[in-house]
Amino acid sequence: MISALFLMNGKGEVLISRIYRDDISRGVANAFRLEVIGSKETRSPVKLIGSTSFMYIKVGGIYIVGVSRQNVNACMVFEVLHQLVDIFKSYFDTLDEDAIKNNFVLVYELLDEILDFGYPQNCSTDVLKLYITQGQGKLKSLDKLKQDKISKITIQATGTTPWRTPDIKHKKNELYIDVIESVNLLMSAEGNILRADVSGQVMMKCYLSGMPECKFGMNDKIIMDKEKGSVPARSQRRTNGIEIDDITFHQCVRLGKFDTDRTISFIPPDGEFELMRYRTTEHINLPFKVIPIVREMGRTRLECSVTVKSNFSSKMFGSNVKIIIPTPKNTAVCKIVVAAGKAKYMPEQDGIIWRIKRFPGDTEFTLRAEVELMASVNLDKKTWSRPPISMEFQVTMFTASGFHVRFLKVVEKSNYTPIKWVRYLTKAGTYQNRI
Amino acid sequence: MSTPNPNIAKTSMRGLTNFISDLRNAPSKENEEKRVTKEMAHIRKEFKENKNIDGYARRKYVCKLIYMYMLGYELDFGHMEAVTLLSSTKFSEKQIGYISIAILLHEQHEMLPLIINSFKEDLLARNDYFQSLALAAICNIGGKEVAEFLSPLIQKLLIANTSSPMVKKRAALAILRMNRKNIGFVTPDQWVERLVSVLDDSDFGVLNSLMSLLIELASENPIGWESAIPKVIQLLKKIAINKEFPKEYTYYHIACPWLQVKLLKFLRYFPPPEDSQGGQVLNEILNAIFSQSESAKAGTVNHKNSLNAVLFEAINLIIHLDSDPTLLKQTSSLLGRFITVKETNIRYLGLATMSHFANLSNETSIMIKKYQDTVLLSLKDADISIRRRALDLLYGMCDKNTCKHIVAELLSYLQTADYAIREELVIKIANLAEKFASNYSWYVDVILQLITTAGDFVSDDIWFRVVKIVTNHEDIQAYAASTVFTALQSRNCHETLIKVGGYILGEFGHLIADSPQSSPLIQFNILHSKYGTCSPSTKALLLSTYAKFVNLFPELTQPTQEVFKQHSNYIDAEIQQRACEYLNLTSLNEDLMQTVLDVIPAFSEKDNSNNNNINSSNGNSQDPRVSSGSGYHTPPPQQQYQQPVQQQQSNNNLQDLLDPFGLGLGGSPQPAQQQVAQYQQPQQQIVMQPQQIQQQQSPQEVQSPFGSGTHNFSPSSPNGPSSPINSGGAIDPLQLKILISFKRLCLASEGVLYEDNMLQVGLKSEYQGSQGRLMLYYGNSSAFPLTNFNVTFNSVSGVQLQPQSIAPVIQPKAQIQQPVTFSCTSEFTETPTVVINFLTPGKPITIHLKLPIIMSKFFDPLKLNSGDFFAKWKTISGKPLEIQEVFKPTKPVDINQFTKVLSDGLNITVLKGVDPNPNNIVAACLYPFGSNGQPIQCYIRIESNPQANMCRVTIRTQSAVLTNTLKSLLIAHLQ
Repeated sequence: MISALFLMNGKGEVLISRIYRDDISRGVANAFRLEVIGSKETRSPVKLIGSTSFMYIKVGGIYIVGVSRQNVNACMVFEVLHQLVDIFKSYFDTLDEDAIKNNFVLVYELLDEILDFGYPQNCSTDVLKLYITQGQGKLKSLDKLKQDKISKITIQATGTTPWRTPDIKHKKNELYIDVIESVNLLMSAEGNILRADVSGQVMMKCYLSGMPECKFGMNDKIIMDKEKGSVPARSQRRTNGIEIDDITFHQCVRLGKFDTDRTISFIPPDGEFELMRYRTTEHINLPFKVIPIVREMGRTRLECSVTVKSNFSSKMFGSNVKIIIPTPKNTAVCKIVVAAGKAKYMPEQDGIIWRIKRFPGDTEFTLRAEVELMASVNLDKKTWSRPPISMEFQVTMFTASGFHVRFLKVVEKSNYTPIKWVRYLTKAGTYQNRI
Repeated sequence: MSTPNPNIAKTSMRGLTNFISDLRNAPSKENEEKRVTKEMAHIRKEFKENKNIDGYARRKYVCKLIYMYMLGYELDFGHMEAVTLLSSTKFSEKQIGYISIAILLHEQHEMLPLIINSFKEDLLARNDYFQSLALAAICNIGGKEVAEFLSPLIQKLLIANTSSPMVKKRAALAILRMNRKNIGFVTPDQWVERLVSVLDDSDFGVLNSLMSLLIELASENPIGWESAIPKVIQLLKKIAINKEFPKEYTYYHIACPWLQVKLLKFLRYFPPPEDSQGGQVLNEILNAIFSQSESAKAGTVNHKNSLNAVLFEAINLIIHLDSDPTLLKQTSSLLGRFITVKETNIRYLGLATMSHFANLSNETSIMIKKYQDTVLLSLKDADISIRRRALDLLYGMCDKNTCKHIVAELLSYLQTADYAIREELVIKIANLAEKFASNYSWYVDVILQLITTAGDFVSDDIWFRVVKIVTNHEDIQAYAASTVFTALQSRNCHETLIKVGGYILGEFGHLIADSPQSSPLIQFNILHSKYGTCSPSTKALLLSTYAKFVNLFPELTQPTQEVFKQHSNYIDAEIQQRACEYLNLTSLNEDLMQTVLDVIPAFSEKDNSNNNNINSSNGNSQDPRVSSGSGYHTPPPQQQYQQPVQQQQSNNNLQDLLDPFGLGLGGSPQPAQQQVAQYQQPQQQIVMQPQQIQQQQSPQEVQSPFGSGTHNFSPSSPNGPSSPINSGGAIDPLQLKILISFKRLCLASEGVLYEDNMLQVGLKSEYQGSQGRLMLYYGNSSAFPLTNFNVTFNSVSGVQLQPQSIAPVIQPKAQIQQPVTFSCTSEFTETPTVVINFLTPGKPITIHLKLPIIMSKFFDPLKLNSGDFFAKWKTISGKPLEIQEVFKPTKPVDINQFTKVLSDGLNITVLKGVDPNPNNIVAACLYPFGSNGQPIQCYIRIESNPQANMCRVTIRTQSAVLTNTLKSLLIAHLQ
């Protein structure tokens, strides 16, 4: 189990240290500073020093370190660390050194609630916010009503739906669904796909009254096949089910029900939450295709021409498209000609950055560049490693996996009809083309 | 350079300052890196695009590049720009150019030849500043090439009247640099007059630099530089007595301390001045320095430091001169003061100097006797370096009278001493105890106490020594036996004690056997109770002890034979063999047993090996050439030479003492051993053969008349790789195999050098002229990886081996190879050896092998006709250039076989038709690398008599060494 949590700044100074078990001392933070922050070798997220394991993430210049001396489940620890980041962000918007320093009382309070004796207890922001409030001194004047409320909190936090209080009222019953996908691609210089996958998430913003019972439907192939079998007449239209490799749900989804008949039913928490996460690796629609030609002309010159082609319908468009074309370290001068957008040599990134604000569907743009290199003094210097071209973009109303929401049914005692909105967005993950 | 220089324009480069402040203000490493890559890109662009970049900009960019380079970023361009700056006529640009090349380049850099010309131009320029810049850069990166091209020029600058002091002092340092890079570059015969003439210079800066140069030169070899001494003394006088020195060279009220120190140090490389006048002046000077220090009031730290620096240097010189008693007296009181001061550094120096002082003579060591208590106190100092010095000093101070006191103090200190210092302490105590022992029982007591308190640090040498002394002095044998016996009774005694006890009880146990407390059975039981926990070598030794017991006390036959029987199948070959041999020896023949297991004869009194140990560990913290205070009298080569000798001695010791009952010690036990061998199983008889072969192999042995059977069995040669510890008849079949493969590889160019169930070593060799190349293949034939695989090559004089490094691990069934190149520079007699170390999962393994690199591999063919051959044959005669030897081959004489071995294996040209007798062979060869550089011709005649199966070899060469080696070689391979 987690023996201690440390929050450190980039220099390795301890901002927060919370020790849950007495099998370690505060001094281990020093070991971490020396062995991980101070060391020059490539860093792995888990470091074993002596018999103590350090698992850490770095967010906003802060190391969040979980320490254990036992054979702890590393995935669990990392999940807790990431949840912590979410919780901190929801409490004080940005997570950085100053935010931690200004709110250290709050942070300690949170750490006390989130973990107990190293075991995670409660990572739900909504519940935590019920009893850990930012307003100081509020709890001082505890009148009877508030004490009731507090006892209610306890019951609720330990009940069957700890993520939702029963007495929520909204004037307008609204529901927003965002499907956000990020595409990862690695393509060889010859244009063969070496690796492609999509990881997506379904985010929900839920403003519903009472205790609504929801049912969510999507075009998963298994579900579709099942429905096709049971209701053959209706299934004519929707045959384009997608294959989902991997799926995880928010804790509100009834997993038992999903296992038996593949229906996703749940009572949602109020506000924003991530309903599910999924991953697909088959039949991926790549939004952009890159055709690079890079020629090294002797030791001091390089010519490249990069063509980018959009692969979606002309009604849609990609925004904030950024293509990074790497150049050798000893680049001196770049002469660049582009058909659209702006391109510039950025020595800090070791490459040419080409930005296109709006990339219409079904079109192609080309960049041509002549790069002059500085001759190196050491003749035996190793040749340029030719790192891949990488790309960033956003395409709205497009899903690379083909995922789409089929339905979302809401049943509530008061029988209202909520207003529902759906939005799709595809982003680039690591989208790389070798050259 | 305090004078204002009109050439240095006050130009600030704003871009540079901005850049530097940007980097300094960078909040994180990443930001700094970003800023640097951006700046690099910018500079690349400027250098590439802007063809006619002006001097200012170029200077600015080069400055930025140097700054980034100094921050640790890689820099692979801009060097050309820096070189361009060199040829500028502006001082500011030239300065940056020189600074940058001094930082960016090194002496082997490929761009250096490009700039030698700029050096030359600037050195020839009539501008002091340009000359200074060039010289300063040479001081930093000058190498061999620079020395070749520019040394006359620099020398001229140093001695020319026209060059300013600024140039002269740099020139002196540049010469120093070139000499350091190129030892022996400055020789007295060419340089001494010129350098000494510069000593007349009035500028102290020049003198300071020049003295650095002179000290370096004198430290290499003082001979030839004596003519500088009068001037140096004169200078010292000028400073110390006449007080003539420029004001600006006063440092915290001390007159030019650096120059004084250098002058004094220089004098220490030479013997005391012979003319009485010089000596007198020197004494006056030293007196002046002393009186100066007394009158000086304690000032700041800097003042004290510079004062003490001069003072210590003066003391060192006094110790070196060792002449004036009043000065010595003053020195001793000064040192006495130093070792009590609070400051650690001064105390350290005081103790170190005092131990030199103590070693000087009897009087001096008496003089410092009164500080003994202070020194003993220093043993408990918090700083370990101080404790070390105090220990050294105590060692030096010790004499007959104080010895007991000091040893007792040291022994009590040993219990609390740091582990880091214990080993040294143990050696020193052992040494003192032996050196000043008035009665040997005290010595035995001390050593036993040493073993009990710090057994881990007692090296084998020390207990060997005890054993030797006890064996050689009958009067203490009984005492030693009873003391050891008492010591062994304690529950946990150290293994070294068991070894000593095993030996002493085995030899002299009978002296105390009459007492009922130490009856033979009790002795045996006490030793055997420790047996289980011992290491194999101790167990082997104890087995020998038991055998001795059987000889002395017949009543112990039963229990000891029990032990021998238990071990007759023991896993360790050495122990097993001993057990078997002793079992047979003690049960078969009483007379034989008594002869073999008789009391060890007294050891011959070799010089004390422990003493040497101390010498080598003494004063290693300082420059060996000046440390001993009498550096001139004991030149360094001799000191270095002593070490290997001492190692050999201790090696010998180890070999005769690890098997103290020795079977291999003198001449007498040897025939008995041969008889023993005949009683053993067939395996034992095989063992005899390798010994014979070994003796044929080893060159020294061959010189003794062969086959007469009176040669001794002691390990053949101290560095012979095939002489492991088990000398007494314990050569196993593996050794035999190694010898056979070595012999075969002497004739062939490739084959297997070594093979056992874990490792196979193969070898391929090529020879071309004086160069040779070996490829060694190490194959792992075991089922586990061999780790920490490490091969050490031992070159011999004449052949220098240069192995390439190899991977430390060999996977199972894998093979790695190691190329070794070597070149032959002169005749050589020894064979290079190789030591292979590796770890198997069980234990570390060490294999010693001889490499088949022998002189014959370098032979060139030599074709001669009959007339020529005999003409040359007759020019050489008589020992040692001629050697004749008769030998009896093991197989019937076969002339064709001989011819084949000679021509194919040993690269010797067999000359046909020179000798009419078909049973004779005439051969010749050319050894291309004589010690004087000339090739050596070798002439060989072999006459054989098939009827008597006898052969006679006659060898004549122009080198005695070659003749000898060739003879050994021929006999080894023809026999």
